[in-house]
Amino acid sequence: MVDAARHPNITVKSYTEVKRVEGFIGNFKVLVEEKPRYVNMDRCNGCGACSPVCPIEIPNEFEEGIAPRKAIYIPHAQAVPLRYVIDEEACIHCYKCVDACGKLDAIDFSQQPRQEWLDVGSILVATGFDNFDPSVIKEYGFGRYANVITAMELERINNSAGPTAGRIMRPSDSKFPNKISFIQCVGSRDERYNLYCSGFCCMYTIKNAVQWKQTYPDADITIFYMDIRTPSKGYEEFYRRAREMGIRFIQGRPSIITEDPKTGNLFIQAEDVGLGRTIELESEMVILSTAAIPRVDTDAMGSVLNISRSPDGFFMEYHPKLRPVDSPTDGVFLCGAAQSPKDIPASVAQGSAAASRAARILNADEWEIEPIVAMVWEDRCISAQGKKCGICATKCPYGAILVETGKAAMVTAAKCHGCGGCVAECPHNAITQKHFTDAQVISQLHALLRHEPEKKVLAFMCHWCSYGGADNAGTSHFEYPASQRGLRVMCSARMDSDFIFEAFRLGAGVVLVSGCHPQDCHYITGQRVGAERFEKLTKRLVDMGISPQRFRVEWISAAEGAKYAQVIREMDQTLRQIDPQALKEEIERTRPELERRVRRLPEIPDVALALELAKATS
Amino acid sequence: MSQNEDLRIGVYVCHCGSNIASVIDPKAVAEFASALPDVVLTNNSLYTCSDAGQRQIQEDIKNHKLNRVVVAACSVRLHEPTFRACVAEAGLNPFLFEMANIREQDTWVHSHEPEGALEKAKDLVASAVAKSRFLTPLDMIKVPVTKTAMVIGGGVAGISSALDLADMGIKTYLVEKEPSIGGRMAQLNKTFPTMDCSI
Amino acid sequence: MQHTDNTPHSFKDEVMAEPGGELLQRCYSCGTCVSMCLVNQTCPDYNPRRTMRMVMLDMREETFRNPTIWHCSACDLCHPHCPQGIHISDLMRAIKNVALRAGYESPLPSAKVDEHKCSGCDICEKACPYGALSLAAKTIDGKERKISQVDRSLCMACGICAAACPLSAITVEDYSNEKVAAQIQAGHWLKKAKSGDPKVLVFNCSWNLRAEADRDAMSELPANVRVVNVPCSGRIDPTFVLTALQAGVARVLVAGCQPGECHYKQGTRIAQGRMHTLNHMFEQMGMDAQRVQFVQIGTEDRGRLPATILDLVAELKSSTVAVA
Repeated sequence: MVDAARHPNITVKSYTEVKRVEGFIGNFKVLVEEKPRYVNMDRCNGCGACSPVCPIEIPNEFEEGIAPRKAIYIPHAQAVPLRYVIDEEACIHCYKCVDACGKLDAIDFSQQPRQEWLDVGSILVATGFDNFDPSVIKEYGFGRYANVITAMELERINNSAGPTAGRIMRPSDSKFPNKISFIQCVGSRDERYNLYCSGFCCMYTIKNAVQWKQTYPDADITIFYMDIRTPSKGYEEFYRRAREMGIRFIQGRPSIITEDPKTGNLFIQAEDVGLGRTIELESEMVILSTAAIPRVDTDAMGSVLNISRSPDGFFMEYHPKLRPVDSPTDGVFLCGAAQSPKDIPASVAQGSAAASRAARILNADEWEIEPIVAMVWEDRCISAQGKKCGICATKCPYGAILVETGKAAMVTAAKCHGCGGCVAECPHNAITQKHFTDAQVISQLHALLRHEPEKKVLAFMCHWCSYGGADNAGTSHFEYPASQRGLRVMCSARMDSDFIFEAFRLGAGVVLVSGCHPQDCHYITGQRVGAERFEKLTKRLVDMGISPQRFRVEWISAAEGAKYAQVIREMDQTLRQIDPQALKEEIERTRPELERRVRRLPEIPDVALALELAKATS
Repeated sequence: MSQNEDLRIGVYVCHCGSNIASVIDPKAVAEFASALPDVVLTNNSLYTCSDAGQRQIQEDIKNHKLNRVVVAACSVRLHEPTFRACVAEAGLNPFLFEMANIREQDTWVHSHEPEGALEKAKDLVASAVAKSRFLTPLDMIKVPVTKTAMVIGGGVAGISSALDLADMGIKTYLVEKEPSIGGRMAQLNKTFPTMDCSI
Repeated sequence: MQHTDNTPHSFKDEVMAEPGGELLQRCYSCGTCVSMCLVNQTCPDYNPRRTMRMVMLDMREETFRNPTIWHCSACDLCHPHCPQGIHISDLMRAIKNVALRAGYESPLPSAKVDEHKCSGCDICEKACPYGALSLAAKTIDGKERKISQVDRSLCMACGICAAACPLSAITVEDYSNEKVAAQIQAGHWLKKAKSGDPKVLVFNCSWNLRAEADRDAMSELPANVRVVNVPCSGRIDPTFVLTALQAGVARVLVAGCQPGECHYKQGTRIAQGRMHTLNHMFEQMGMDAQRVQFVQIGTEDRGRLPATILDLVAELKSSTVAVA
């Protein structure tokens, strides 16, 4: 901690939150807001004269609420920076601290939140985890039985710098508990709360038990567990040491804890699975090993950084095996428990890994980004002909398009991220997207629907989420019918109405358009551009006589392989339920109107050729 | 523009060991591809992404003057960068490469429907070949780099990444929402497995 | 060594194909259900975790031969605590159904209907928590009548029907009206107890005591307290209470389970209604409306029942003294 604060290359910005992130790899602009401490950082010397005179006492978060703190406080004795802070919500403005501070004159109630924009080339997300609140597991009585505590509370009780100065006492009567029990997997490996294994709880419980047993060799310690997981270096040996010290391990998950109201002692009921018999164990204190859970602000942080969450709620990495510290957004990296629960060695290792991934970029003079950007055909843009339009600019999430009547719209390549929303929205087909041109997509459509199109589930997928979801279905081997034909573009914003008309014109049985959930969109608002279009399109298709069940819109994240497979299964089922003759008639009946809709497509460069080639191939 | 160009497309169908080949016959897919217009060469190999597989592509680009390369294998999210680098090394613009996902989005999800999976693989290859005809060479966009990092979160992971970056000479902002850095670890007394103190 | 079969169409698949059996393979043997189970406390051979293992290991005949698989009464104390979301009683039902198809029968005692007394009023069918009773046409004494019939595979012998039957046409083995009446008086305790001590009769449901200490305490009560165990508070026929009061008992205490924890789903709720009606009747007759008390003991109420009984005894004693 102190090393970080002293390092000449590190600027610690404490009490500061990230509010907004703009830009792209190598060129991020981050808006941060420093909350007012109401204490002048330069004047305060951390002497501590202010805190004792403060009349306010509220629960101390650092002590897990076991001990109080004042409204003017330092979080703990080794805080970095060692500067006091006033908790504005608790402060009653009695100004006693001002008097106590005296000549130093460090207290300053005039402070306001301070915002600033910082330019950075890369962002590392190390926002950590929260602890599961076990009071929701009624059968364990946390919050009702005084002597049922959490492991984090034990950490503070059993800490010489903690509120009891390291003297262990139990909450109900401040007596020393000699007979204690730990319960594992509280809130994890439990489908009612979190399905995942928190990973490090086995080890921290064994650590707590060993630490206790070392200090109090006569202590009677029991650990209730389902499986003890000790896969890292030195961990299994540590577990063996704990057993050899006389700590009792019982395999069996307790179903209920009852309290003797007279003594405050607790009775744990569990099946000792090894024994095959239910046992009841009396304990003077019970410690719950609570799960690590995603931080409460994960969603908010995720939308600021434009990164999404895995099904477990933690931030999702680009690839679980090959790019475990990269986020899906280039230049943003993940480390520590923000990505999944991790112990200290793993967090340190991943911190170093993320640093080296970021340094690849930061040590380069320039970085190459994909040229998949929008490009205007100036001769087709009506703005150049003096007509008012500018639709493309309103759809761009990045402000990358400049429209001045009399001139063709202009795309700033470095600002364009390549969602393709402007391309699909341009009513005059005057914009294209490099590497995902209309000719390219139309060629693919024709190839995918070249044989028995009426039996196919045609699925448009966005690169970042639904294509990732389809990959996830693959890696998980979630089967779905082989009638599916997938077509990838970068974003749902690129899925032009004309592509869907063309698919139906060719006789596609059912068509899926799928993209990211709104908060996950890789292009800020690209998904919204697509979603708005699809809403209108859904109505229009019905008006044209296309059965509503033949067109479906779904938002599927890269983690939702099961959902992807399910959607395709349902769509295949839908298709099978339509009478083939009726479908054929519908296709024939709607074709003239669809042909009318796509009649201008061949005007787009290369599209005529693409159609010609497709015809020749089929 | 493609109409002015003499297209020479090479199609490579990967077995991916048995990941693809246990469900469909990659040879049948390659044979199908060889009948597509402008396809001058097809190949199927055990692992296209292997050193040997990549060398083959590079040699073919040189010897057969391929100007489009299509690989039918796994997801673009996995190996598109690999093959782009491979063709670029052989002098072909990396954006003249196209991929068909016949593993994650075909054999891995249709293992009980091998005939359907084979038909789908052919269509996916046809689709990739069709797109490849209209591919144009593109240059990467070069952007400048601000040589500063930001680490959000001052716990053990954040501190260790900030220290590493700083030691590499990179200016780093360590942003912490609480009044002190240290995070959860600062709350702990001793830590496993060595029982030393945490701070 | 145990031979196991993990191929399709094994016993495991058969159970999983049965409604309720679907989630079998989620079980990771944590034992939560076992330690929550009250049947396991009195009958340790009934172990749902082990039964699930046996099904997973394809031990078909051994599973069926274990008579305890029939003991699950679907009280569902376990289900809300299962970390894998397995509905254990549904799963046990699935196993029972497969066993029934294989020709096995429940060895549990069941309710019996006296066909001559039964009037076919259908009250029992409505009272039964398991749908084990239904009306069926039968020729009795040369006449075709609709009378109540018991499905042995569903009956858990809780006796709720027996208490509900207005004609006393239903009997549950070991807990027949006669046997319960005999227990109320057995051993001449009413005469033996000291004349000054008020006599208290406790009808106790067999499932509401979780702690061993509480079960021990129940057998160490003073001589003026008599405990009569019944399978369920729903088995208490109001006439039992009247019999006891007539015999000279000062107070009757009926102890059932906390609502939502009844071993037979709705017995405690039914008993609550019956005891309320009984007290209401006493009140209308100008008697003490508290002659019968009803307490509902939860699984977390350690020590509550013995304490309630002793409190009641003390309260009666002091009021008797005051009157004297």
